[in-house]
Amino acid sequence: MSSGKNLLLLILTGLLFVSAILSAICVVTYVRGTGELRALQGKAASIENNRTLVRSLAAEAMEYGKKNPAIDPLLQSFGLKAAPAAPASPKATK
Amino acid sequence: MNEPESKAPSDFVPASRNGNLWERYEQLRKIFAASLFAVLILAGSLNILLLRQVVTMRKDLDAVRPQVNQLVENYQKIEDPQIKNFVNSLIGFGRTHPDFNPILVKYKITPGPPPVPIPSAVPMEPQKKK
Repeated sequence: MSSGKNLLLLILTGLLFVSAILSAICVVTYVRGTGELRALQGKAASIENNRTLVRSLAAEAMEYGKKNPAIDPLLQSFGLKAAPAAPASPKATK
Repeated sequence: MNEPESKAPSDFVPASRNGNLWERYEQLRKIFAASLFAVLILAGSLNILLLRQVVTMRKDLDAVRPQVNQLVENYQKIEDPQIKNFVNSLIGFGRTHPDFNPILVKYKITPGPPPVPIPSAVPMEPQKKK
């Protein structure tokens, strides 16, 4: 009777031990995974930040182009500004 | 009630002769088993919660990882060289047009000294022709 009770306590203690190990494994996996997820999100955010900055720079360069058209060839070479349509073509058709 | 606790160890009678002590031992064992069982249920619930979190996090990670890897690859292969080329061109433009430099400074782009740009200007030329 007493050994049966002891066995029950032993089994409960063993289950608790296994549960604690499982918890530790889960926590380690979760922490590592979360770290990786954060790193990936950080990379994506960094790229998006760079894109936003370049878009903003391009917009300012285009704004500058309104005052100083000397920058237009540079902007056109990067496809930021359409090349001016040739004014001679309508005359040629006439 | 507290009599046995207050007595010195030499005053204790053997457990077989003292039924009260044996009852107390049994009670303590039952309380311990019940507590152990309760802790086990708590730990099991916590484990289920943690496992669900891990599974959800892994799903998120599996979904995000290829997207971000492709994004980074595309950025490094295509966008980054174009951005560098564009910024180098603007720096080159800023050297001939100093009134453009405040815009570069605003974006923390340092124009650099005028005589040095020979190596950086070499890769820029073919890109401009395209």
